[in-house]
Amino acid sequence: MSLKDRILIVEDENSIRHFIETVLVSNNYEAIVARTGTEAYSMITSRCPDLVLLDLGLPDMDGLAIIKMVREWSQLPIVVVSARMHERDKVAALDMGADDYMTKPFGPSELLARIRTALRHAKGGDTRSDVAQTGRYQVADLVIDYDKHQVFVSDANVRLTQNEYKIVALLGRHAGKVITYDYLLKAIWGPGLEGNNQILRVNMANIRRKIEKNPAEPEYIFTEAGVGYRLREEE
Amino acid sequence: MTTVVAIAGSASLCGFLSLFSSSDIHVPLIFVLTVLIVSRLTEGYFYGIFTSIAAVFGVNYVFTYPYFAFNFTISGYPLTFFTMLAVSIITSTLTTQIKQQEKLRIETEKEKLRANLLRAISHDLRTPLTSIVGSTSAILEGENRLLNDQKRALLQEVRDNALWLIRMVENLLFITRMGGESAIHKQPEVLEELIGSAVCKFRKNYPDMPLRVSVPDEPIFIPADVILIEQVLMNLMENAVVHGKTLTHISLSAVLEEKKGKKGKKVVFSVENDGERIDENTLRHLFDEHYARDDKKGEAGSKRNMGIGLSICMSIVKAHDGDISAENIATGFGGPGGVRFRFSLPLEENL
Repeated sequence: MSLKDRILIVEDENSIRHFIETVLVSNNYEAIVARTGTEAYSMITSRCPDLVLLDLGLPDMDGLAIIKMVREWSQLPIVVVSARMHERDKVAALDMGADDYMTKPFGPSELLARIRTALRHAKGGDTRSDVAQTGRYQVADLVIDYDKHQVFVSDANVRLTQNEYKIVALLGRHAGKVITYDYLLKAIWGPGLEGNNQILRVNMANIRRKIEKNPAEPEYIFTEAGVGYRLREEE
Repeated sequence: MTTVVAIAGSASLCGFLSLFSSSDIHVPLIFVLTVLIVSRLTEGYFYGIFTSIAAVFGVNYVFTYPYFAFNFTISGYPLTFFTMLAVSIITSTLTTQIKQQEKLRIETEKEKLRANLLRAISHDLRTPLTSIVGSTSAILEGENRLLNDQKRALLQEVRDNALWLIRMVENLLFITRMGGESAIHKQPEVLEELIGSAVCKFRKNYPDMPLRVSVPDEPIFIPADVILIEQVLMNLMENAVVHGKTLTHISLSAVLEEKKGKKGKKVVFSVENDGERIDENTLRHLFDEHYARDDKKGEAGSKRNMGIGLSICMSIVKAHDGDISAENIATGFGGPGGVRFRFSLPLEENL
């Protein structure tokens, strides 16, 4: 029998905390809770949670500060929860090392999906594929073949250019997680292009025309408005 | 500053005019006008009264015999200058008073508008909240007496109402945001991504609603605030679902339009549905700024959000230098047609 994953819920609103706690416990997670930033930080150090669900709007401190403090010594997965219209906070949180974010309001299925993804990537998924970029990633009819550096849709090679392949490959390694524009730009074109994401947009438009049936109704690569891209995850 | 410029200006005007005429009747008139202008342009009573007194002494000193000397004792002078002083001061205080009253009036008007909005919103929030409290209480209190299906139906209603409340509150937040400084952050966005992210959100909320989406084949960059435009698209699509009672399909499309002669190209977005049409009278006032609400009709709570949602859409589109319109359409979807909302956004000016 495997141990339950322990999840720390950092949220100052009682009703939302209660809802998340109920969903997690009924889905076989162990939930611990913190109401303030200081409490959260001390619980991260003393109780060793497997994942932190962090609301950015805390009464005593900025949620971003917690991410910064934790990232100094730990790769513990952090999923940020934020209200709408705080895109800048989201991007800042992701750039600071948060693993993913969720926008309120969210339902149980989205909550569980984000947690599963973050836990799976934390348990070796990311590091393994970062070191040896081999194997394949498949979701629905899309296959990324890391050995051949090729992408197939319904078994047909879609012939991406080198940069297009790099974008898809990177998204594939982090499937299910949102990847910010700046992160992608830096990973593929190197530093110095931050904030100028036009080149990335053009590449993405070309990728979409090659792998999606209708670029405005993507099945594989989703746009997170103002934040970045997310590749669909295996069900 | 204004005071000094005004006095200097009228003094030089008087000096200039005196070159053409030996009469000095125009002088006091010009200075009374100066006082009027000064009181109009400055705050409070001080500058107006100060200008009145300065004008009387100045006119006496410069423009009346004996020139460049004070003399109020020559026959007729006391009355003339006293009258000038009185007229100037009264003019200045009256002007200032009217100005202050005007300011007060505008403020009360704003206050009234805000109060009306708050009252309307509170009223609208109460309906879904009452339903939520009612449904949940029914479930909690009648735990064993209700069938599972009944419970499910009640919970479904609770969820719909809560979703409506969230939409309402989000639109209200957009109102405050549009009113603030640096309201929009335009960035070049790819058209299909703009539409795609709105479509994803919409699908999440209404998974069963058939939605047809079409965009131009070419990738098009368009300067826009993605969060705001997404809200416009969401509002238009959700309005269609909530208000188009007989609705079975929604279509969302964007086309590039080039107008010869007129500068630049624009992208025209349309959200069409085959739902119930909007009557012509309502159609005309659809985008009215104020929070449109019709008490006489006593429509269901969900109806009322339309006013606020659409006025947000309009302010967002206007902030992007675009246009928005609504019309009933006769054909489309191979059926009887329905309602079409269209809005356009200009492409980058330098293209």
